[in-house]
Amino acid sequence: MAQIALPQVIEEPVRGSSLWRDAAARLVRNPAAMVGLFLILAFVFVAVFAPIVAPYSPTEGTILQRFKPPSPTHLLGTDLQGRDILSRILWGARSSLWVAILSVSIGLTLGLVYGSISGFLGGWADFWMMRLVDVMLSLPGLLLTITIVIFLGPGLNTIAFAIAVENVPVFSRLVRSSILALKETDFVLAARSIGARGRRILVSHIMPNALTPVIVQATLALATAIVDAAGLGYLGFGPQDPATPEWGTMLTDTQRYLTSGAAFTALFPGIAIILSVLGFNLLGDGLREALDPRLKR
Amino acid sequence: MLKYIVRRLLLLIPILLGLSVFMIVFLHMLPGDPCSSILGEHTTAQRLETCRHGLGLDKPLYQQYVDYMGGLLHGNLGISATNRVPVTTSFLNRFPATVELALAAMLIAVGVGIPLGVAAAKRQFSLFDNFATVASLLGISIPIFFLGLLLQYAFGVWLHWLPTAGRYDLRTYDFNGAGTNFLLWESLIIDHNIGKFADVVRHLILPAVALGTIPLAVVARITRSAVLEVLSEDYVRTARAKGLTDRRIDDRHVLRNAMLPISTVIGLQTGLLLGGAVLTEQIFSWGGVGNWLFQAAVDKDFNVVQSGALILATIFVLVNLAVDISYAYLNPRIRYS
Repeated sequence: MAQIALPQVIEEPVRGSSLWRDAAARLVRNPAAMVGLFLILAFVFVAVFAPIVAPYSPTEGTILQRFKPPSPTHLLGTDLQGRDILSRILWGARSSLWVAILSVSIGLTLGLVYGSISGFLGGWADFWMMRLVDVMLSLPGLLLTITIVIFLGPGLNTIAFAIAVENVPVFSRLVRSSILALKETDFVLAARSIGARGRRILVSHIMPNALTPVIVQATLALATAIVDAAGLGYLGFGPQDPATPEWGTMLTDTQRYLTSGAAFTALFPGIAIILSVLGFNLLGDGLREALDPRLKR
Repeated sequence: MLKYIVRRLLLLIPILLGLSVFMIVFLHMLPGDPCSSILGEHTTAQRLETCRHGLGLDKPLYQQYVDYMGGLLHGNLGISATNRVPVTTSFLNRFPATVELALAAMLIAVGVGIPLGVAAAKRQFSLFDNFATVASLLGISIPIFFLGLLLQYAFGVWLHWLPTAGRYDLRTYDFNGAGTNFLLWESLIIDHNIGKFADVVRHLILPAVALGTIPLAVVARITRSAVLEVLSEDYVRTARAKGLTDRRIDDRHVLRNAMLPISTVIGLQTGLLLGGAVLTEQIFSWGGVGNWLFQAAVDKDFNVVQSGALILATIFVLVNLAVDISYAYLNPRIRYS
């Protein structure tokens, strides 16, 4: 009997779309998040290339040119010492970006380590570690930050450190609670029941899900860090060297001239702060929706 | 319920103990002390030593802690190193100003935020919804001090509608009578002076709007998402199928169930505002707790910063407890035991 060779049907493997690829696709379709991303990219670009894009030196000005309203030569006008405001804002982006990145990375790293240890250990260690977090969270936030900056002295690095201290308990609690919640979820159980190894469960099931709230929180923390840094700068704790422009400090300098017809000197640094903060808030919101499909509107 | 409240209040003790240890260790770890602020840069080592001895700062840290806690048990929160006024006196003097400002800010936040959120949720994806979403994001993104400056400029300098600093017009009125420092209460209930009351309200508007903007945006966002979630519930569909009017559905079914997350946020934000708004109080020269503690931090006044932090943490925890208790009334399914 002749055997008929049946054509072997080789099934195309079903292309598994990963959590991240799905999330990226959802993020790109969200116009608000894309506006946020654009604002952030513009902010980072300006901060990195300030020396090239700034039309004038941020530190040099002539006193005769003081308080010139916006014009083609000085697009955003000049300040008390005749310095070009646009150039100072562009250079000021460096200060804000530096504080934001430094403070969130310190806070995030310490929070991740602390929260994971607490979550993994469980029991009494976890209980007491979380009580310390409670203590820190019950403190009025800005007061702690201001106290640290006052004692350590003004400057961008101290501001970043102070904001980081405020961030540590927030990230710790977030990481711990998501690890605890994930340990017990059905999909981790399901993965275990089909024989997945511990490492695989940790890397492809627990980690991506534990990280999603952290990523969202980190994006939003960048926004808060910029606002807080500007607030501390406004209170007079920014960089003391006038060669380092900082947005909050620029507002303090110009607040006194609101009445003398130079309100624009305060307006533009303020708008710069809003746009950069708005960028991180928009992206953070978009990321939250993209990473957690249940939240889709 | 009573057992639950007592247990929560007992839990406050370890938190406060932990906080006091944290604060004393933390403050002494940082460089500088009140004496260097009091005596200034041009002083002798001898005088610094005398000052430190006078304030008890030369004692070992554990001894200082024991002394401090001993005072605390007798209701003594210590004395300010800079002006020798008891911390309790300064706090009681300042706190009413903060309470008035915080409540006014929350009134604006809740009064505008909830209707805004509900309206946005009911017209999901409409032009109004998009506008409300963008507006609330802007509200969260605007730095409070910049908003304060804008308000001062627009309503004070430009339009001359509202005063931009202080709590009342010092040239026209005085508040030496009752001494409660609750100026709204004093002017209206004790003095029966409508003009005085109106003046206090006028001074309150701009700082309250500045301080209330972030809570307003937060409340509006939470309300929108909470209402959206409830609107898709089966019982809302059932209510509609029964032929109930929209108004009744909103009042009895939607808002009542959506209030749970909203009240959490309101409580949390109130707790935050009662902690004093350093920036708002600075901009509007408001004599509240925020300004006081800011100045104490600048003077490196250990006692004031430490005790102030303890008081504020206590208030924060109590407000949160009040929120948790209110849950039981908002949602009868929640029973604390």
